[in-house]
Amino acid sequence: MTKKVHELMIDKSVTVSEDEEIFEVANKVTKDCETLLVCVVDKENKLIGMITPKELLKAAEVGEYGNVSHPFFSGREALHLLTSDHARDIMSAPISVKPDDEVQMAIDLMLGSNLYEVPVVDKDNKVVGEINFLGIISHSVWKGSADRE
Amino acid sequence: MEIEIYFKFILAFALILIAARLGGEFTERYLKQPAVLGELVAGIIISPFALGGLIFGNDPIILNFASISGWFVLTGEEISDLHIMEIISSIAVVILLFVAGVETNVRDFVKQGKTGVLVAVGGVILPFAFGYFITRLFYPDGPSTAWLFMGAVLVATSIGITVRILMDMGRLNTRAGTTILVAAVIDDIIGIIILSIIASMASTGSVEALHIARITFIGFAVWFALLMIGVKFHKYISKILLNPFKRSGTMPIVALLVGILIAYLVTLADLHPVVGAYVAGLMFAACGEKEEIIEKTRPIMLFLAPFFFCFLGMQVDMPLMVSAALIAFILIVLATVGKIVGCYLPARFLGKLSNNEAMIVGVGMVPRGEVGLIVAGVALLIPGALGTGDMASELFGAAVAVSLFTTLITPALLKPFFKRATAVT
Repeated sequence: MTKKVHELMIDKSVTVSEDEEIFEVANKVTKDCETLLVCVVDKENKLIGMITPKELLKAAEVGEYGNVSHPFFSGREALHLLTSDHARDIMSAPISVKPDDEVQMAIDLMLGSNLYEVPVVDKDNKVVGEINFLGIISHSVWKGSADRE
Repeated sequence: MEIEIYFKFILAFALILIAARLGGEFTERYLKQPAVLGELVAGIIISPFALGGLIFGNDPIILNFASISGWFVLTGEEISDLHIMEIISSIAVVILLFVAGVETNVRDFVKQGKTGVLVAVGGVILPFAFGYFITRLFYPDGPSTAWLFMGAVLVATSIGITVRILMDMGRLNTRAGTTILVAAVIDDIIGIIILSIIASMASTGSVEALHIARITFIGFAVWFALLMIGVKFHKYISKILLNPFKRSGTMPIVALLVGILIAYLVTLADLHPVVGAYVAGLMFAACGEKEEIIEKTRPIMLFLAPFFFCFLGMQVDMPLMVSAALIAFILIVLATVGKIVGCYLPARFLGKLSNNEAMIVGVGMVPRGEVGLIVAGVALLIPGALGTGDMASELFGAAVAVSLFTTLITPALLKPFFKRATAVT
């Protein structure tokens, strides 16, 4: 019995454009804490990148606290973070699943890239929501206990 | 027993890495200095010219670091085939520069305007000229590649220690701070370009103008081509090269493999492999997968890079350094003065920084580290590039001394300017 992504996904997502400043991105994430992953989209709502909590935390580390994790070997990371003002500077390559993909694929992506959320896109690569680990585990736990009884 | 002797290089490999890690950990934790210094000093200590010679004096295999048929580079003995430790150290430096390349984002310093570029250029010209002419003065009979190599050793800045000080003082996010960062990253790149030209001159043994023009042209063509591929076609690189390997989590490894392959391919055009690795890294730096590549390849670098630096330290002939003390001292002084003056002038007068800020920039650029050592290491591996016999050992030792001392003196030199800055504000 394989489950599809659309059975467990939520239709919420945080989307920003790549020109938005990092503090605006941070504001949008903190507004609704159900989703932590930021989807960077173009004008047509197509997914072009994402910003993970880790990247936001790094930006805060250097911007607010003036600290860099790996200062040695020429401080390239420091330079990069100090010159990052906009979403596009800190976004990473997007990963995504489609509503009709199997949940297994979402789990693979999460485990493979150390994320707990994956954006869900339709066939035109437009963001329609996300699937997160809470959705997946709550379902598994419920199923397990039902079987025991 | 046979098998034990054949695989003794594994013991040598482990001993070097353990010594490097202990040295690195000690300097980082207790001396608050970059690990690379500890790795270097650990190498000097365990080298066959020092402690290693005493302990393993009767064990030629450990002492030669498992060369079955080769011999230590600096002893001047004939090398019938490549030394296994040299091979490991070459692989280490290729991986080191690949990761350094991926971490370098060209867009970062384009945004920062021209001050950083000017400071970098000023900080390159003066030290290079100093290194070239002093070496020429001391060794007028030496090959011209030796003079050029010593100039190149003084070029690249390693600002790890400066970044740490700026961070501790809460000054990283200032005009002086970003100028130092931009300039240091740019003069790394200039240093590697210079290295690629000189290394190819030395390994082909030709110093004719036409040949130099040719390799300079090829060098720039390779840089430009790979950079453009990265900037223009990074979407296709991601899609065709990297995406298929994402499911298995080996995508960063595939990127590294491509980097290693490019490192070899550029040698067909007479360029040094470290140049290819660095530019391949720059190419991947434009991709969205950059962060993941850094994250997964950095551990490999952290594993192997200490080997490279420790092995460099092991090739320093300590007893011989006594006779090279004078040139080493002069080079250290000139490396310091050259960088301070070379960086202060553009920062003060072209970049319009205050006197104090410009001095912070100048002094902050003093440490020479990884790239200078890489230049010295590359020079050592090209037979005859640093001259023959004692001259090569002396110059190499002097180069290592420059990286060690310039890094050690920087914190003490830098602190007074911060005090003055806080007193004014």
